[in-house]
Amino acid sequence: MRTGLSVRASLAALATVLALAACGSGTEAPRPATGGGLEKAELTIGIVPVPSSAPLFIAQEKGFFRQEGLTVETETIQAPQAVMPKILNGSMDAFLTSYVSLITISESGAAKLKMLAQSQEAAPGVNGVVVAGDSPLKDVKDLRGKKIAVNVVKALGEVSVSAHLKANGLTPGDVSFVPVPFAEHLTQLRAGTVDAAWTTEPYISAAKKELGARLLVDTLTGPTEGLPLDGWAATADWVAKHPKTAAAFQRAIGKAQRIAASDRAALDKVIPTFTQIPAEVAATMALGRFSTSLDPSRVQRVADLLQEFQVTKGRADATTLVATSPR
Amino acid sequence: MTRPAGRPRRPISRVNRPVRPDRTGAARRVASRAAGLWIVPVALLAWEAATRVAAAVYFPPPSLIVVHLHELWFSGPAGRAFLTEDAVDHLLPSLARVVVAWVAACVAAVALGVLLGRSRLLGDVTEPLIHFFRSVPPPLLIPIFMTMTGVGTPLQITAIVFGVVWPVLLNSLDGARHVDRRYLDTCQAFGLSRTIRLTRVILPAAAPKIFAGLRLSIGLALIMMIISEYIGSTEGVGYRMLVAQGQVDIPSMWTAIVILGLLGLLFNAAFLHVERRALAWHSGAHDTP
Repeated sequence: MRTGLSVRASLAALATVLALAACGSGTEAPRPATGGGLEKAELTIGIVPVPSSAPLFIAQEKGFFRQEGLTVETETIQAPQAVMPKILNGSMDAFLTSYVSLITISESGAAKLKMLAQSQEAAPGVNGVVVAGDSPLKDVKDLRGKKIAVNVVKALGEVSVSAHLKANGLTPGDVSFVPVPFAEHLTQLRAGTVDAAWTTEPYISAAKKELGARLLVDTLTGPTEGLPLDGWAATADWVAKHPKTAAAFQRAIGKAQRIAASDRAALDKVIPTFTQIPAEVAATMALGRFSTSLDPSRVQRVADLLQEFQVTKGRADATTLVATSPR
Repeated sequence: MTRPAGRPRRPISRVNRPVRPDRTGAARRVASRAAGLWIVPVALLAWEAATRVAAAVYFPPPSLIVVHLHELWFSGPAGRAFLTEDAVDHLLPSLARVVVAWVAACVAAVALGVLLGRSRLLGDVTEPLIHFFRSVPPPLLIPIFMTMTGVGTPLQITAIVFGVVWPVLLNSLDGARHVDRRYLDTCQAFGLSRTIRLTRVILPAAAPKIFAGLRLSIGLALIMMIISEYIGSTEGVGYRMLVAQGQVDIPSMWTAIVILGLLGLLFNAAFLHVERRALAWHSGAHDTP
């Protein structure tokens, strides 16, 4: 009887393994083309509740998607890494991603991604290393042997800080990067458990206000000046299967990018509607430059930095990471 | 699994004799184990076939995971027990922390649990508190611990101890509280000292419960080992997993999963071995209502 039981238990375990293995194999059935020649009219777009998503909401509000025959549903995500299965099985069409994530994902072989449109590029005061107001650290060189909090290891924080360390004769090995969520940086700086924190707006503003913190290194200037930051991407497969839809999305978001690039008031109005950032902070915080074009040679700089600081093994070719611009 | 407690009760006269399983019982157990084992290669083959057919990025075939596991962790020089640099930098610190934290938590929790369990007042006062803390998800507290312990090993140890201590404390308390009245009356009748009463009667009587709590805590300790390295750590298996996740390095994620599973299996086997020896007297003899 015991034998029977254990056989049954083993079979149950086997069934579980098979069911788990089957989960990853979802494929999307091709959908019929819709009116206007679009391969797909209803899009699910992954947004991150940060200012970079603003153009999508501007486009939505001004009806730019509707004019192209698109209906856009948004879904809040943290980072594309967390929703890769959805992206791969086609239940998410496009999403906001940093170039760092785009390149690391593409280099990992998990998926080939292409940037459809760029959202923000570097501007002073957007990202940087902050220290408490009374910290003895005065410049980049003082970071030797210190603990620097970053939100995610092996990503933009580490890479952009490393570029500045290198420019000042230090190496990434001279500091330690400690993973701590952005929301906890202030607490840890105050407690002195980390010596410095690489953070972003609006956390920089909050740190200055609540802790009298100083921006020790502005990590989007000097060696990282003008670095493209993020944008709207989809898988290479998706772009190949939906060329007209991709172009329509690019045209719509492109119009919104031009508004975002020139009209700060429009940004101030829309940012509080989809982020946790209050209106008064949104109006005063530093923002990146909203891009109106996408230059692969600049994207190559990101790829080169990632390779230099060993986030990716190989050197990604930026031209393969960018979708063609709309006609 | 054959639980000793499931066997028919033995006559009282044999209570203190070490229990030796009879030959047919042992043979039957071996046979049943072997019968269960055929599933392992079959499951592995099915897993391999399923993942190869599905070709899903998130489910690499087990053969690839094994190769990667070897490359990443166990392809080092013989002088270092074949551990790679990665293993020395990440696996060993994690293991050291989980063992130290688990032992510390268990010793403290058993001592405190037995103490609280023997005092009705203390037990009644503290039990709700234990239930309160037990229900707090430890990951939420890690940033708070971090402000107190700083970054690194003290933080990980605190987090593991906090995750592990509650079930052991609760079971020890419970075990010590419900010692059979007759045992204690007997102690009194024979005028045994407090020390002897504690070490020879209360602890053994509470042992089955204590061990049940300890066994639960092993799994928790491994889970906390990983979670505690997600924040405020610069090395460890959890940290390595975090990096692999960020880089969508799926084979590396799977190797960490496999390593955790193997550790769980190993720790549990070692623990069962100890438990069987420690509770040998108890097999089939337990007679409390």
